[in-house]
Amino acid sequence: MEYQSFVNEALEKFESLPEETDELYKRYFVAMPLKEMAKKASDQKPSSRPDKSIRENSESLRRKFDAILWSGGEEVSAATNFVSIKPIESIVTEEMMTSSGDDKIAAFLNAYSKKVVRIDVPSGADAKVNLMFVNTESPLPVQIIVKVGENAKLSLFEYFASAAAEKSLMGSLHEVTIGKYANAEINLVHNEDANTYVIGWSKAKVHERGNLKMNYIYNGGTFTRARNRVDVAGLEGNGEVNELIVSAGEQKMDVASNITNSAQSSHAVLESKAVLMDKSVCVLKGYASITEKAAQSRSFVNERGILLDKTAHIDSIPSMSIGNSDVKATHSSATAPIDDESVFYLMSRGASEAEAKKMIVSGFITGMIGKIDDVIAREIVASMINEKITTKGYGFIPKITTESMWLAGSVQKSSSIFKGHYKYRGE
Amino acid sequence: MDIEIKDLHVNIEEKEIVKGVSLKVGKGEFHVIMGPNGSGKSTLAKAIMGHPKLKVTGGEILADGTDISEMPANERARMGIFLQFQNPIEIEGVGFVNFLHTAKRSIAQSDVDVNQFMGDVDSWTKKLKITNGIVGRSLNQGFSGGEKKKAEVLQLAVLKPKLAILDEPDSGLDIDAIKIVAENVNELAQKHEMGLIVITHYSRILSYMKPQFVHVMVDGKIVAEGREEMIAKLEKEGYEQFVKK
Repeated sequence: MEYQSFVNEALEKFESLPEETDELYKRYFVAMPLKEMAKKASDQKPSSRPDKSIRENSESLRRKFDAILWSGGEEVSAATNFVSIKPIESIVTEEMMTSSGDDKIAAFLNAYSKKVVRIDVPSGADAKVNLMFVNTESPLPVQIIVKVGENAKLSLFEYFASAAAEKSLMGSLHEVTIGKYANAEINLVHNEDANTYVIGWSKAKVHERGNLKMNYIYNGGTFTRARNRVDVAGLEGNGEVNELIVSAGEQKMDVASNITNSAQSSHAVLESKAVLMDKSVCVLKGYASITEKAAQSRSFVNERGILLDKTAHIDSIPSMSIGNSDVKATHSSATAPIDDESVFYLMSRGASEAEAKKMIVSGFITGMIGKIDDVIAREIVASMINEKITTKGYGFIPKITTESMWLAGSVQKSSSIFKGHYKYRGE
Repeated sequence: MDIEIKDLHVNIEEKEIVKGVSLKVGKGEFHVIMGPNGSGKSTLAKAIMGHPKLKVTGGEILADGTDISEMPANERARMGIFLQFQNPIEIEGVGFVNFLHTAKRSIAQSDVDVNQFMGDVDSWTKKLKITNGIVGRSLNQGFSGGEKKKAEVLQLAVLKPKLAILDEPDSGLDIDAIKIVAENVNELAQKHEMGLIVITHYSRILSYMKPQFVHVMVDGKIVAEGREEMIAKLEKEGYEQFVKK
């Protein structure tokens, strides 16, 4: 298909599809200002990089970024072997697994993205890729195609930030393909500011004996709407989706994820944890599907939430569809206010009420942070979340401190975390 | 530390549980509170520690002459009061040693020498015969009943409070473990002149300990008091004689 036809189709769908009408949007009278953002995106002109914000982000995050994209421009490191940024017209539409379907957000991303970031890891290669995306007051919708070849490895870190002085949007559409025997960890860290609406659409396919771990961290943005999908389509393939949502103030989060086992002996896991403060709201939907072909597969959906204030609200909705009887599948969901007895226990050991609550929340999420294998990404996320649960602030550069490091070490035994806490010296 | 409880009344929501208890525990003294289930012993212990859900409706709790009945639990802990929980709370993701180090610093209100602290933890872990690596796990999570109780005594040993309230320290422990816990608590109390209040239904653990004062609590009140001999009497005759028909 000609790309322009693809875009025209997406534009038509974007115009004709109705606004979101499910419970979050009705109950809280929220809406994505997509028409306004579409106009801004159409009018967007090339722009020079917002230096200060990007420089401070890169320095503070202690990472060398292979590519930085901002609204109206991009910069690719000469040193990178795996990343290229091209005009959207360069996409061969057959590569795109995601068509707009009946999703207005996907249609928006298909219609208004101007750039495509390609990450191509050839067979047998071992790649570490770091990307930064910064939206200014102009929206930044972008498409990202990730292809990991047979027996290749990829560790991908994407940091989404903002330098928006007025209402804006960050939008990302991911198409991920994990080849046979390939291994990939993809960390998508959202820390946009309070002026920014966040939309995300990602779709991944895992081939035979491939392994994919997708870690989604939703910390920023005034209103996030994300749809994530992992299809474990190859024999003995493994797909793991971890979601961590931390919201404060009046942030709204609408995150729905779907894992599918569509091959024999495949393994798919979706684990979500949400911490809600103040008047923030989250709708968390986890859906697992096991197709008829996927005998001897395993699927697991677990959603958990903790509410720090009576005014916070979460709807946690796990569900499953099982098309083969020779499988192991479970789903669970639990949300509760912070436990008074736990607070008392910690206070009886000298912690103030605020310290006790912080310790409980940190303990609740530290396991999720510990799932991030990329050590620096883990430290960045730990610092960002530590700032959020301490100050409720988001959308600014996290200070990487030793105080937050114990959050980053959950997969280790506590005795070694303890030592690590004191050994920490930074990169 | 001297603790003096004067005519204490405590409610859980609207229900009165502790109905006028008076008790004096001097520095280094060893008191036992015995009584049947539901007599208010644990509520009294939590009230002394400062549980926020309990409402002190009358009386006062004096610690070295200061009324602490309105004081939050963490401040009482910093004054030197420690409660060993009957059912220690499991807290996911909070490493036991990190937690204990934070507690030690909070109570000391200063930095704690890490080597000395770790040495203390190692030494008491061995003394209490804590196996199975509980110090390397999340706080009380996945611990057996006995491990939880020993972990509480490990906290007591490292934090070295001035007054320790042990709420059923023997429940969930096998015969050998009861002896280990009792001997270590004895050693700590003697060495640090620690006041002790042990709450228990049974006299089992007391065969390894030497309480100076025994109080019997029934229906929210202290109904009888005596010395060590009273334990044998209670063991023989039960609490029936104190329960109103």
